[in-house]
Amino acid sequence: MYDGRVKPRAFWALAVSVATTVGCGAERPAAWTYISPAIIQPNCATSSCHSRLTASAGLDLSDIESGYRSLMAQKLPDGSGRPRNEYNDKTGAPRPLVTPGNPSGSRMLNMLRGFGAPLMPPDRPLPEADIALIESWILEGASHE
Amino acid sequence: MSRGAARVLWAPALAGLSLILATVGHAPWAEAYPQWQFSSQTSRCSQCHYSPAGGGIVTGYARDAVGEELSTFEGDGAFLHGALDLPTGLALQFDGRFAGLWHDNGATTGPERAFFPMQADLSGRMALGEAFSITATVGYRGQARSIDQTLGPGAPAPAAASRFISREHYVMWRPESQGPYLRVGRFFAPFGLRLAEHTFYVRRDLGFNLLEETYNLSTGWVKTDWELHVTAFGPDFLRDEGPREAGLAALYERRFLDVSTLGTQVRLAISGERQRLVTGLLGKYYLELARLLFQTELNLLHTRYTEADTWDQGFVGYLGLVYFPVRGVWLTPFVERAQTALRDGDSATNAAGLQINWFPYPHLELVLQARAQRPAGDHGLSADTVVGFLHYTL
Repeated sequence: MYDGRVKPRAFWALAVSVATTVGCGAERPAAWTYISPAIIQPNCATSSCHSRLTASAGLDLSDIESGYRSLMAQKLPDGSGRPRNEYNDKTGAPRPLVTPGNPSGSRMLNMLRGFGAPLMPPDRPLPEADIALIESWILEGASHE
Repeated sequence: MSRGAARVLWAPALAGLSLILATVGHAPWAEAYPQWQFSSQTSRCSQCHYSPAGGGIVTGYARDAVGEELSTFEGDGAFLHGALDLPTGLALQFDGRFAGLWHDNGATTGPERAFFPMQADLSGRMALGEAFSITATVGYRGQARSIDQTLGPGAPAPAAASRFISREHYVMWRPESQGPYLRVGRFFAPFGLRLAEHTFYVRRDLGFNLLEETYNLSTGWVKTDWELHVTAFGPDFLRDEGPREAGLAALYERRFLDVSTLGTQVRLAISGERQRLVTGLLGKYYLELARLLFQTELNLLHTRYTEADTWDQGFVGYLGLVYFPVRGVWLTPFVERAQTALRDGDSATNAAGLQINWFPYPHLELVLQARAQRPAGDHGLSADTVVGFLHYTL
């Protein structure tokens, strides 16, 4: 988590990557440590939405740690029209926003696609590639890595 | 800021300044700045704003210009329509916006309609002697959507307090209207076209979204035909809101032949999770015969994700063509593009739209914007928006 200090090596690491990696064609990693700062934070943690202060709908997606905690622990209240696989088969209770290994049962992914849920982000939907990357992350176990 | 951090910032500062100085050429003296102020022959943002880079509380010169030359119908542009003379050295301004929104993102719930108070800000500037001044803006920010949905026990409670805010508060040393200045406090670092609408990608995707003003130490030099702004910035430490980034931003603009400007900019922002370097170009060209202003901003982003140990190159751009058919009216078709990763062509979103601004009478502005956003991919998601608002300034 950001400790408020800028580390000297941060600049040099960035400078080296600028100088050496122009046009690199490697695939983007389906990892939360990439997805959070590259996709979730810029699109979801804006002021008046899922930021630290506002935490709309109780979700703080402003950094890697709090975002992961929110998605893995929080459940949206029950509502009509939700896909059945968003509920626990045994208890019938809503599952967390992310169910590892189960993209179609993850409320988060259904909201990003507007499937049985309000579309998120409402102002600017994510490109397909970003959603697909999040789907891969969930399918691969939704680890914190 | 630690000494180590300060040392780190010197390197990008020098790199940015080198980039900027590399673009500085010898150009003819220029007179006008090609924005809507062109008709009043203004060349600098700071002729109409107390801020050296524009934005915020306006000067008496601007109030006179709006009253006599820029609005469709003439009137008294002074504070409170001229009903009250403020003491010398004191400037006050109220800005209120009320908006209506129609938005269709394809959700099964159908298009969204909303009417909401957008802004209610009171700004003040007090001169402290010949060279110093203090400026502050306090107010309320409304929003289109409710934040009152709550989750189960243990969920953080939504904070309506985020709507009450002082977006700007700073102390400035500026001995002359042209020349050097130094500013300390909260405001947006001078960067980019500085469009008023925070929803444009060149604002929302580059660290200049709504309520993301940073705390800064900013300096620069403003002349008739060029200006340079260099800003060291840090996060909002009072409210812990917005990106937790610190870094440096620099902008250089040069005006040519009374009708055009060319600028270059660099911004380095570092947090514990991400380091991002933005380099960009901006330009404006006014074609007087056709009453057309071409304006563009193109930025290349290089972002390193620390914990994932990977990086992206991205792009954020804007192109607009402003047409001034009659006094007090602008018609602006525009296109935009934001791409998270150039290595993944489907990570982009394109947008196109039309914005109409009408200044019928001093203190009053009506804005209507229609915009279509198309994220890449075959998932069928999109966002079509029509937003209109009334802006009243006292």
